[in-house]
Amino acid sequence: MSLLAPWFLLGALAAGLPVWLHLMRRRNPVKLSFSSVMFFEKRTETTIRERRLRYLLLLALRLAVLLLLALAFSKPVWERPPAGIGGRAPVLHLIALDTSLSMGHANRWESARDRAGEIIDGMGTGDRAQLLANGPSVSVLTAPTPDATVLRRALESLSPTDARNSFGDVIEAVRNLVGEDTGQAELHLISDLQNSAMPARFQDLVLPARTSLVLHRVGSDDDGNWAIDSIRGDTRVYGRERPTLEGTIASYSSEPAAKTVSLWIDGRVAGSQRVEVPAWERVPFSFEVGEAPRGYSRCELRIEPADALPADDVRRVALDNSDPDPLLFVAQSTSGRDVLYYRSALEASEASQYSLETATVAELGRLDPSRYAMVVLSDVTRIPESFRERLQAWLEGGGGLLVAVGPNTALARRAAVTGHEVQQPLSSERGGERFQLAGPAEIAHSVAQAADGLRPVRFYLYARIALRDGDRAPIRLANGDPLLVEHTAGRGTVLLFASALDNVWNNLPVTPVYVPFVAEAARYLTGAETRGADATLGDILELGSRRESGGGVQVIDPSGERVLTLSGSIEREAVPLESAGFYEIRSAQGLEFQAVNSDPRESNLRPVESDTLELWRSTGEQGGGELAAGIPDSSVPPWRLWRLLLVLLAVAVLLESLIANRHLDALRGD
Amino acid sequence: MSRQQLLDPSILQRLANIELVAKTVVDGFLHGGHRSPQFGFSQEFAEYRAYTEGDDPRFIDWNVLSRTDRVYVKRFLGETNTHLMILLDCSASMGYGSGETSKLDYGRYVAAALAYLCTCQHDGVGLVLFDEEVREVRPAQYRPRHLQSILHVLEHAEAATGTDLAVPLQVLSRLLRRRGLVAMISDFFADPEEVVRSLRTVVHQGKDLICFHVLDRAELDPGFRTAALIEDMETGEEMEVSADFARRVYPGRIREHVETLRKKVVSEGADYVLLNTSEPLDLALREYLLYRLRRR
Repeated sequence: MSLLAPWFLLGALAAGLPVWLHLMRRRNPVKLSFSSVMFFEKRTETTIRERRLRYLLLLALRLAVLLLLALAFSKPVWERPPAGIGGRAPVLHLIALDTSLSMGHANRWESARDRAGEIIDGMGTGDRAQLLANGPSVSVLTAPTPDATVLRRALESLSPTDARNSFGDVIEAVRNLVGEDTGQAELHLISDLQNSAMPARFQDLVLPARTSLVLHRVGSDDDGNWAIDSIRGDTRVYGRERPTLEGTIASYSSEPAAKTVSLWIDGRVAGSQRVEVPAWERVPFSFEVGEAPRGYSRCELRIEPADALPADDVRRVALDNSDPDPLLFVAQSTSGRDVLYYRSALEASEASQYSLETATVAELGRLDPSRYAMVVLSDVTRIPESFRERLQAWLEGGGGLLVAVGPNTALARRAAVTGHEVQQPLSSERGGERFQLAGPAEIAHSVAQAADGLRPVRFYLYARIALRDGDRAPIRLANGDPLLVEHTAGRGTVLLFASALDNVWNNLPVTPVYVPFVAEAARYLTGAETRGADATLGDILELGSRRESGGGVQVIDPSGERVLTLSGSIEREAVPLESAGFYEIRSAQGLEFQAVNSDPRESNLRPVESDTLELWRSTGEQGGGELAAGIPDSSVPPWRLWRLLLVLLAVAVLLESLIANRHLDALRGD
Repeated sequence: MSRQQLLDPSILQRLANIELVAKTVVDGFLHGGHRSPQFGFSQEFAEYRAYTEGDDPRFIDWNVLSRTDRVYVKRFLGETNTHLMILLDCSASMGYGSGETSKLDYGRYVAAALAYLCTCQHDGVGLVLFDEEVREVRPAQYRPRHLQSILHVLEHAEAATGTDLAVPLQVLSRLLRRRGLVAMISDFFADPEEVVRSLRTVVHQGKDLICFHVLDRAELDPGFRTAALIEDMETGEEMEVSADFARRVYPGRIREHVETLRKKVVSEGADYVLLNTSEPLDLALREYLLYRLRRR
């Protein structure tokens, strides 16, 4: 028998009360006639030794009432023998197989699969098993089943992936699988037990109730590994004379080694060099890219020959040697200072992937905005209606527009295209000075972050823009008025700047933050921000900026399979990157490559410390083991004794009432 | 029924007639191998003694003188014509009895037996019933009908109120002017010094006093198993007494009281007999007869 709420047993201490009452209560002594009291003394019973317990039956009943009450509250349960053979309760075996990248090292995967097979074969009568694969996320491959054939078939379908392992995800999945009706569960974790798979908080490893942990480690401490764990450099090679790529080779071995690293571009070796790698060190190296083909190229850095874990011997990046994206700058005059400053800033930016075209309002009628990656309207008010319509359609299809106000916009009281209400220009005053400074900025917004919130800029004039529903103001002036407003139009994005782009209303063009402000605003509005030269497995590929022309987008994974269906190519906004390699992105803008690399943490094969593993196992003994012993199996539920105790309690109360009444009558002399 | 059983108070209790009780007691006591009371209380010859100067010449045995030419005087067993005055305490405390027989019943049996015994021996017997004052008085006489009168008084004796031992003794000095025997039957719940002070007058008057101290068995050892609220039968005073006190302290105190009373009474020249109401009455009769012999 066990107690579900043993602390309630402390209530049994109340049994001392009736004992005390029966022992210490001042009672009415029997009156006796006696010949003389001359030899007596008045003396009451003062010591416990002189007192005697009286009304023993009544006392026993009262004690029984209190003890039964305390026992009933402590929820006693009577464990019935489980239905399993020989008294052993059926167990649910949760076989979690590590399919992360590191399991591809040497023969680790084969060992793991064999171990899983042994567990399946060793299941007892009444046991069931469920197969889980951990990588890239935890997937449940089978329902709980006693059928070894089903389990083996699911096991055969598994192979190591490029994903990273996470023990926290495994435990989270086990928590969802183990419920009240599961009974006792045994988690068999078959893994190389990499330390990098440990979660940040040990709390995430705590096993659920009625679950014990059995660790099956594959691999050994002596396994060494080398990997290229980073790649960076000039991935935008257009216009660069000597683009260079830099990589790092990391050693996860106690042995120093000399490794040959090669640069591969579109399947051809473009360079090779020998690198001495000391034990447990990271060594940088670099390659000149040389002549890259036009458009996008698939570039790889490889260790040759491959080691025992070949999956991390290669790191990929997409080289972009395509023409610069054209930007349209519309101003009152193409020779104004706003054009001059903007062009200079754009060309000065490190990623000069844009070519600037300028036009006046009068020239807009012949221009098609869909040809441009982004349009800038600098203090423009009277836009031809035909261009406005084309611009609106392009914008809602995913285009990017930067609108800067100025004297003309202030006079018109409305911003071009978006129609935001703009008030009269305000003279900025801050104390005795005639300018306003930028105030709070959203750190998470890339434009505000790159331009440091425009903090050094003095704004002598600005126009107050009235925000609409859904608008946000990433940067505000110190007085709280919005300085940069982000407005969403369909899938497109509009940034409204509350001051001018020349140096009349402010000194922005002559401050250091102007170039990053212009460059980041261009990247933000053209969608280049979401396009990286390389991504890590598990990242998300944004498709919105690639649909500016309104056409579909198709994504082909590294194995050559289409990721999107026909409808998905039109509607899907993002695609998860689940395989290492190069994804092909086909859109109206042409062919594009997205390099996807495995997580470099997966290359470190160092196992978890044994003390930590022991601690992890003990969470099962504390949280699950004891409970598992107390509640053997849901199919044979324990007898809950509180109902029986309540019946006994009622009987005891009844008897106590009857007997107490008899004593009361006796005292009254009835 | 054996002789001893005839003396058992619990059996005597069942006899309605106190005269029958007295006869039963005395006959039961005298039956068998005891000295005849006639031997002790008649004028029978006892012994010869050589004549010495000063002896009464009336007691010279002339026959012996003539035969042996020696002078002897005859000695007799002594005077038999005496009076017994019985003083019976009828206070409320005498009404106490833990069994079937109260102390007053026991005292009445003793008094009746003594009266009957005296009558049989041709001694005069009187009776005084008292509590705080004298309730009944029967002067000491030897007449055939006198015993009936005494037994009648005893039969109707009831426990009344308090006790004052001095009162009957003052009456006694008026009723019994000559030497005689005085038997006081009481539970003596009083200060021994005070008791002796009262008795001293009687002793100094030359009367022979025997005190029958009647106590119930429960008075010697209450044996309370629990605390009790006891009520004094004379004063009505109530007192809560613990069982521990009743078991451990009280018996010592009552024994000390009995012993003190015995010593003081004996020191005054009187005799003292402790009677337990649970014991047969022969002790009282035996003590009386022995005392009667000693005072000859």
